[in-house]
Amino acid sequence: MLDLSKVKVSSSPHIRSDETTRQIMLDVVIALMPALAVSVFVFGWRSLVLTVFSVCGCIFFEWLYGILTRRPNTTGDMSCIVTGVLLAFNMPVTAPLWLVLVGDGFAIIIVKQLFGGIGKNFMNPALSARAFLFSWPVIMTTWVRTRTALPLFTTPVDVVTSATPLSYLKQGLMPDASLVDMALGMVSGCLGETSALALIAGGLYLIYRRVISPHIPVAYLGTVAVLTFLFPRGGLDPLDFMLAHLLSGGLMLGAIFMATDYTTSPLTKKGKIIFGIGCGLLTVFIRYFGSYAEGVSYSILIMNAFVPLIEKFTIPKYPSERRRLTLKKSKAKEAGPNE
Amino acid sequence: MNKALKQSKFMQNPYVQEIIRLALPLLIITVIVAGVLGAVDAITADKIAELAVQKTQNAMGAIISGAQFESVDFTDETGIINEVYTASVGGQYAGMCIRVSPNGFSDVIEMIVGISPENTVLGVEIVSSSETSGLGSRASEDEWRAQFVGKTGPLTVQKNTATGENDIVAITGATITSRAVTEGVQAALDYAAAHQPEVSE
Amino acid sequence: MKDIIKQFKEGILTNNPVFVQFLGMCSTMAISIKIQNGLGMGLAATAVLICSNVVISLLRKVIPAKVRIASYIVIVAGFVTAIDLLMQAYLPDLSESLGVFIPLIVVNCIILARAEAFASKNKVLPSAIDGLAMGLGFTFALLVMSTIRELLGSGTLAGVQVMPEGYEPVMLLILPAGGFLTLGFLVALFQKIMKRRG
Repeated sequence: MLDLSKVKVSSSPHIRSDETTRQIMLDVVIALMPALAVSVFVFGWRSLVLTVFSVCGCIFFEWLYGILTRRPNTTGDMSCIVTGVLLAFNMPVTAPLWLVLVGDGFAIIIVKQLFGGIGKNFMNPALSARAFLFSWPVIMTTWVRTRTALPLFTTPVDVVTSATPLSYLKQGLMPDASLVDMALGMVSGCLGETSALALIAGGLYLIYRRVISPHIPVAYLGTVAVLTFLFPRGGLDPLDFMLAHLLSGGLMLGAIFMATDYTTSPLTKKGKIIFGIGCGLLTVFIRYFGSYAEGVSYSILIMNAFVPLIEKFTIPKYPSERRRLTLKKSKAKEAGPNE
Repeated sequence: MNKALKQSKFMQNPYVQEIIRLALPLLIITVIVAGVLGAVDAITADKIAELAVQKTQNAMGAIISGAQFESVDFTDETGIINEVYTASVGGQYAGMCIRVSPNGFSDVIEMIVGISPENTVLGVEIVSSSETSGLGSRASEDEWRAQFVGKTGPLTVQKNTATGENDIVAITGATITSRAVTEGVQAALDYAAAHQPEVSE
Repeated sequence: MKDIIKQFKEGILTNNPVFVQFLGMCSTMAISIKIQNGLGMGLAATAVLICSNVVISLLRKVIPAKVRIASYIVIVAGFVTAIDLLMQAYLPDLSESLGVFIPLIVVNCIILARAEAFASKNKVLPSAIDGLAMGLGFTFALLVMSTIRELLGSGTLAGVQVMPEGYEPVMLLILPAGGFLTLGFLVALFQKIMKRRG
């Protein structure tokens, strides 16, 4: 007799989402590795410790939520690993370990799981957690000089701080580091954001593997480039000013790895481009007129909130076209990287 | 209401009657409430004014102790100077206190700056502010305000360490508040430098 | 007597103005960063609520239906302004920390809602009790919110340092975003408890 109790009947589409998700997440983790390597070189082994710790924290909270709510364990899809890496990348290397753990808990439990888990959160978990961690503004804006010896596990005290390139740009000055240093990542900042080249390399890998489409990063970076080229500050050379803006802060990390999150970005090409341009505009506005020097994380979070509206205006009206996209969406939502 | 009016065509109009029926109770309520408020205001106005004066006096007394303060007329170009007082100790001119209200992070910061006859800062007192507690609110801490004492300006705000003589180190995480307070002190310094000779006589 | 107990139970628990009726969110969010503020705001609102309920109940047959909202606003605004002035004169510290929120009691939905839903249909004594019960419910909600936010957001309780030396306060909790987060969790918790008790 055939045992049908194990057979689950469900409506189409039938997608083996677990494999896909894991594969995509693995690709994202691979794409983040060059930046991590540069970070270890620039800030020392502490950045690796923080990243690994953050990943462990995220896995722990994902597992804990499953236990507490008696739901299946979802750590297997590896999305929490990506969140862990991205969150660590968004923190200064001097941040204490407890702060990393608080961020992990906020990202996984409050931002992701309480809204329904993978594919259902309306904001990027790592970025929301970063915004939450600005509860401790002093810790979150302590920028250590590059290549400073730091303790591996205890909280560093009395570090020599240094200004980030963005704080110079804010005052209408060129950063004290050369553009080459900025591209390589030899400047102070959050631990995973400094090296534009390593991040671009990761981005190209993701585009090659078709994990992300280039629309959002190109629209985002393009908008920032055009605006900063047209409106340089402090009488600086427009080209230098533009390059400095593109290479500094969390722009590359945000544009390539955060703004492209499937769950919290639009589906259509048109929507993606609108989303990218919106992020770019907000970033430049905050960098020019805001009270913080950096605006990437808030720009992406604000645009995350606009995604339903963008979808409403860009999803095609013709049924066949729409069905194709909805299918793609359900697939994407199951899979979604960068959680 | 006299009888003639009551029986007039105007008053017989149902629309007019309806309006009066609605408006009259509202008018009566409003008048009564206004009367009560007038009474409460009469009781409390003096007390409130006295408290405000006392607060300013206390703050000024903390800057120049044992002094007599006298309000003087002023002309303000900066738009943030509210009041100017001259201080005298035992009949001797001892500087001036200027109440300024620069724009902080969330609202204006009400503060008093004391300036010595030699145009140096004697002290800064925050009268009221609604800055973010834990960040901007730290501007009220003695330790931070102490760095203004003795400065002559022009003041500049530095983020980490003071390098020049007239550098003010910003409160970590509250650069805007620090700039606002410094701007207020600078306005007071400028005013004193321009007007001190005329009021000191 | 039974009715009175029922009224209190409704005001504080089953029909709590903040956790169940979602009224007065604006002041709840803004004020609940310190216990003193929460208590002060709660008691001030309670005072206004009792006064306005009594007066509106007294006048319920006099005020024409079409201008009732305007009349309520005038009455409530009168009480609020009077309380504001009295506080400025006799409790200056509290008045300063509550600042702009006292005038906002005028448009606090709890007061208008109770005037409309209860006082305009009931006798004076039940209306007064309703004002007290709802006011206590509001105060209770503010106290819970402000205790959590002050403890975690500043590390103090009623201004006294209680958290250990090394504790780094969660600043977000005393900012508006923290208000929304705290309220969300409390409402979820409250609903869960109420559901369990049936």
